[in-house]
Amino acid sequence: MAVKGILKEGEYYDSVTLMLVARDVLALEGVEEAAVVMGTDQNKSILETSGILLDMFNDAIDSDLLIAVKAKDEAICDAAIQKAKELLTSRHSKMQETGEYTPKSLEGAVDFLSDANMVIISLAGKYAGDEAMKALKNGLHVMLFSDNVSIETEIELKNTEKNMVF
Amino acid sequence: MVIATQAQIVSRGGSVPLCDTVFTIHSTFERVANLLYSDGIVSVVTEDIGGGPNNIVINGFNFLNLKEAQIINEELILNDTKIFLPRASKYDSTIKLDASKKTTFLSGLQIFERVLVRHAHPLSSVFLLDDRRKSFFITPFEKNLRNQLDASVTEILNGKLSSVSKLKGIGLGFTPQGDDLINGMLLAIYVYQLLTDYSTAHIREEIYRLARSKNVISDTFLYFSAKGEFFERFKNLIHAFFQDKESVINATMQLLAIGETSGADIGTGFILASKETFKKSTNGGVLIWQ
Repeated sequence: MAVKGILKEGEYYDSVTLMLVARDVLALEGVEEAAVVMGTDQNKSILETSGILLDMFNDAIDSDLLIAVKAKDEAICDAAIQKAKELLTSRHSKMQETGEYTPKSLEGAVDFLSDANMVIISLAGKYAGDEAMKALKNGLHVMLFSDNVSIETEIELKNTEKNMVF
Repeated sequence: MVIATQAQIVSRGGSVPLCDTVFTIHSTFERVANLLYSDGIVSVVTEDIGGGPNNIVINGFNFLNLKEAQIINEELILNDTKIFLPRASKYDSTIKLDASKKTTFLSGLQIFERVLVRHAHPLSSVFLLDDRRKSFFITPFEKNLRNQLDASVTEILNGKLSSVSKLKGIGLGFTPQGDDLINGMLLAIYVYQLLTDYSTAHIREEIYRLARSKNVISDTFLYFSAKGEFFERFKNLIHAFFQDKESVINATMQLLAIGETSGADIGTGFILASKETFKKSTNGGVLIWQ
């Protein structure tokens, strides 16, 4: 097992962007743990608890961005860190603060668009089933655009009364 | 050569300097530019972000292209754009509440909590108000983060004010979730003072002392909240508590549009601290933080 990371100075992202980048990196084959955080003392403590604190992070300050990856070997670590950098660059260019409310959950979206009757779900397979069932229980038709949904989940979803399209 | 353009100023906060100042650009976003100077931070924002004690609200400027910022002869100069600051109305960051309407406030708080729990981002701190949201934190690191937030907040709510220093800085991003939670707590403790005859200045000063960090953006927010100065969206929310349910819902939605989780995190801190303070006072007890 290898743990590697990098420190980037003066780069600012919101919490959710960093968490989503870490999740995308964690989804890569061979990656066991990943975190992308600002270098506060408290975050370093959490990295330590998670077994991914590197010596190079000891002198990091609050405005430093830390990327830490634990993977099967160093090559996978390097590839994962590269992926994180690419994701951050692409999300930064897309980042927009609309200043308006945008729903952050299915329930919120249903409240916000009370006339909506269909939802398109595109999530990693392990999470997609729960969201699809939630949508069906909210009386919505579902178009599920996800790989790796278990066959049991698919049968359960298709046995519900509403329309379901995979 | 400086050329006047079409940017329009809407308001300026009372803490925005008018004297000649050269700023360092700290960070820029689509609708916000944070400018550093010797006394702190000035945030130049668009109208939909709204006023704040240290905000200059303008329209018609592309913040992402900002290269230089300064104030000369009371004019804010952003690249080649000149904006005469005294022309703007001054944003009033103070808030006045009718102490006889404590019950109305608490009803508004309940509506706010319900809307927040229903609409906040899954990865916000709202799991502190609703345990079911804990399941949104999936990876080991996320769970450690969530547990650390939970433990620090619980300690504070159990009277251990010193745990503010453990909560600050917890969180991944630009303004860590822990800092936003503290921010909300400070606002709640100030509102408690307005609705009772109990001065909370010493508690707010102590929290600010414990929460100070090298994060100049967070530090600025905390400084103003400790003084009882509100940014516009939160002030609107508090006023909405004294209007009707629809107003609370609308004001909550506006709050949730701040950052990805910041609005929800500040709101969570506000609700937790409000419930704690008013629980003590309605039971005839004293504030837990003395």
